[in-house]
Amino acid sequence: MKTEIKRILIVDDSPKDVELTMAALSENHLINEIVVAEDGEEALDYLYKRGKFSHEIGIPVVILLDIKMPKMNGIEVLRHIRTNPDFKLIPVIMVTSSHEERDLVESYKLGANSYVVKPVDITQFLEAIKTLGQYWAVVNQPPPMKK
Amino acid sequence: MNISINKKILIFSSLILVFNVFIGYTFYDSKRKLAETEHLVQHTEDVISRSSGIFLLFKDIESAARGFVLTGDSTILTPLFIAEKTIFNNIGQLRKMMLENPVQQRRLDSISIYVQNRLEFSLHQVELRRNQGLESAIAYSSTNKGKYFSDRMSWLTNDIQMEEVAVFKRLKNTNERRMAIVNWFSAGMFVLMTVFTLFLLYVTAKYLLQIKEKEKRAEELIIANKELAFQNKEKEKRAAELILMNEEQRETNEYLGNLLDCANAPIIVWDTHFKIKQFNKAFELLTGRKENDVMGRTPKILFPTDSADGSMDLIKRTHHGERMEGVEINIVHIDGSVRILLLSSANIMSSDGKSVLVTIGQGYDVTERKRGEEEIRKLNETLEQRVIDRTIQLEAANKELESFSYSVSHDLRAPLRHIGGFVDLLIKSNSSQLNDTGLRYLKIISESAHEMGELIDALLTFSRLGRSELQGTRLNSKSMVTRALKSFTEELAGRNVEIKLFDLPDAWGDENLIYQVWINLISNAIKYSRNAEKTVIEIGGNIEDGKTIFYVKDNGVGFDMKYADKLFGVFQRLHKVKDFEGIGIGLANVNRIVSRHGGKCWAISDSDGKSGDKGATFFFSNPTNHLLKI
Repeated sequence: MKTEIKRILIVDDSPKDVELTMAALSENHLINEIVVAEDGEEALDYLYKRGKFSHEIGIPVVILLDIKMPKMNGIEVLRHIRTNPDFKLIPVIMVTSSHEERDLVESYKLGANSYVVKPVDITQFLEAIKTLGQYWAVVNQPPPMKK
Repeated sequence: MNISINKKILIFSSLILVFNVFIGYTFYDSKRKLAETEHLVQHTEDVISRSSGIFLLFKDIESAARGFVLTGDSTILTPLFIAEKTIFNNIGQLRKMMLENPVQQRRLDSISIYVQNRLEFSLHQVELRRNQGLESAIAYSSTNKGKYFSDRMSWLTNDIQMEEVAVFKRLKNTNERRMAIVNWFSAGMFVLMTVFTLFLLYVTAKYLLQIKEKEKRAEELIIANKELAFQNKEKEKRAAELILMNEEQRETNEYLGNLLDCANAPIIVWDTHFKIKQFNKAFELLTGRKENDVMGRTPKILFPTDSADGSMDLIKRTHHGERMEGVEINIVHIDGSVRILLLSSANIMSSDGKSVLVTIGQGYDVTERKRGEEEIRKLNETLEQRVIDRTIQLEAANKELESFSYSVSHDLRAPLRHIGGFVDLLIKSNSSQLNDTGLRYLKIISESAHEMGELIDALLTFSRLGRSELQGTRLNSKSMVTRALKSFTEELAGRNVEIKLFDLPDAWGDENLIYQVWINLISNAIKYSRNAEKTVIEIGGNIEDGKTIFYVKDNGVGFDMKYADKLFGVFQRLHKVKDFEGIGIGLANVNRIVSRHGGKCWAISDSDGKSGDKGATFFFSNPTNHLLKI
């Protein structure tokens, strides 16, 4: 297994959800490579190295993107990512509380790589996140990125 | 100069007549002249013969006397005595014959004297012979006295005869000359007559030809006259018919007049000058005007001033053969109120069909109806507005509901997830620090959170089923059911199951939704029959009365028919959770999907198995009319 740093960007406005996600990811020992953006704007700030992320380097290997967020929601962030040639190849997993078909369809249309509904059952969630994290952060060969 | 043929004929005929008279006279004259000549010839012959007779008698006297003298025979004297007796008679007769000729008369006088003297001389001779004898007698005779008489006699007789012949010849010449002239004249006359006759013939022929022509014309005229007579007869017949027709027409008119007046519909008739010719009672009632007031006036007076010109334009168009059919026209009553008429018109055409004589307009008072319609229209308008308002409200409510559902799915689930998540994490990481009771409580909290999550999910699904758009297509039911059955393979593993899948009619609907119906029904059938020794599930469908009815029948526990109406309600359950798990949303979803497709759901059951057919049968219908369109 490669030891190269693979950042996972979690975009979620709910600290509780972030904690649960982190707990799930920590099961995979991926905790050190997680960056959290608390809303859509922050997510873009991270990608563009703006604001509090101005000193950050590295493009995330995967983005776990919540849909329902204040200011800029996940769908908008996804659209932005997919229209920018620098970011459009970054794998994006929609992680949401909603079964809304509208959101699901919209997400896939915009080029989401996966769509996961946050289950009430933590075990399920841990399983799902574990699988996803492993897959995207470890197994999957990330697309070539500009340095 | 132009002389008519009749005059010509008359003139020529007169001329011919004159000439004929002339010729006739000439012939008559010639005849007469001829007879005169003949008479003259006879006369001359008679004179000659008579004078010759007289001369012979004279000679008889001389001869007899001389003979006696010589013979003395007295018998010889007979002719003397005869002559003595007749000669003067003859002379008298001759004299009578020549009365008109004095010269001849004088000669006859001389002859009489000489005859007398000779007779006396002869008688003296006789006497002498008898008495004195021969010598004396001879002596006496030799005196030449006798000879003198005889010569004179001879000469005179000759003169008379010569004179007669001369007269005759003179007369004859005169007559012959005359005859010649007459002949010439006759010849001329003949020529003239011939010419005239020919001319007359020509004229007559011409005349005849003309007559013939005239006759022909006359014949034609007769024929023409006959024709005329026939026509006249026809005319009379027609006239009679016309009279009859007029009478009929009068009756018809009267009948029509009555009919017009009795008609409920307002009827008006106007002519090509747009003058009112008829105005029935219904119209009088409608306008408050009397027929007599409007007759001969323009229909314009019947219209309200603001629409009068427009209505008159409509009326005037009928003059060009146009017909009005149910044209809306406002009519004003003398009290000022306005009525609405649906006016239809028909033109009465002239017999040649080329021009309009009058136009009949029949109205239908639709004022009340229009008012009703207006009210309805207003009501409709408000209704429409209300519908629009309500739709807007509904749309708003829907949107609200949607955002509510969205909120529920996100915002309600999030804390629930956190409760469940952190409780689970607590159990997982800190179970050693908790006693059994605490652990049990935590597990109950966790289970309840899951339960609530499921309920929320079910509710969201149910609400989504009511809102999502239908993508209707033709669905192959059999393959769909086969696919649905396949998804239960795992669940059925180890169970004794018989599935009877009959041929199914095609259905119409949204593929995903109808598939959910099948999944739900089959899932229920499998679930509620799991305690049976052998599960028998029957799936079938038939077309009945324009809809397809599908059913799923199982031999499971069934349900109490008493609560059959509750089966399809949200979160309604007829079994305990501990017997059969579930939250009671499946059939509610089925019902919602089926009714959104225009169908119905129902179920029958015999939970006691009293009918010997334990189990439940769930039906749903699907309309076939959509299938006909696709």
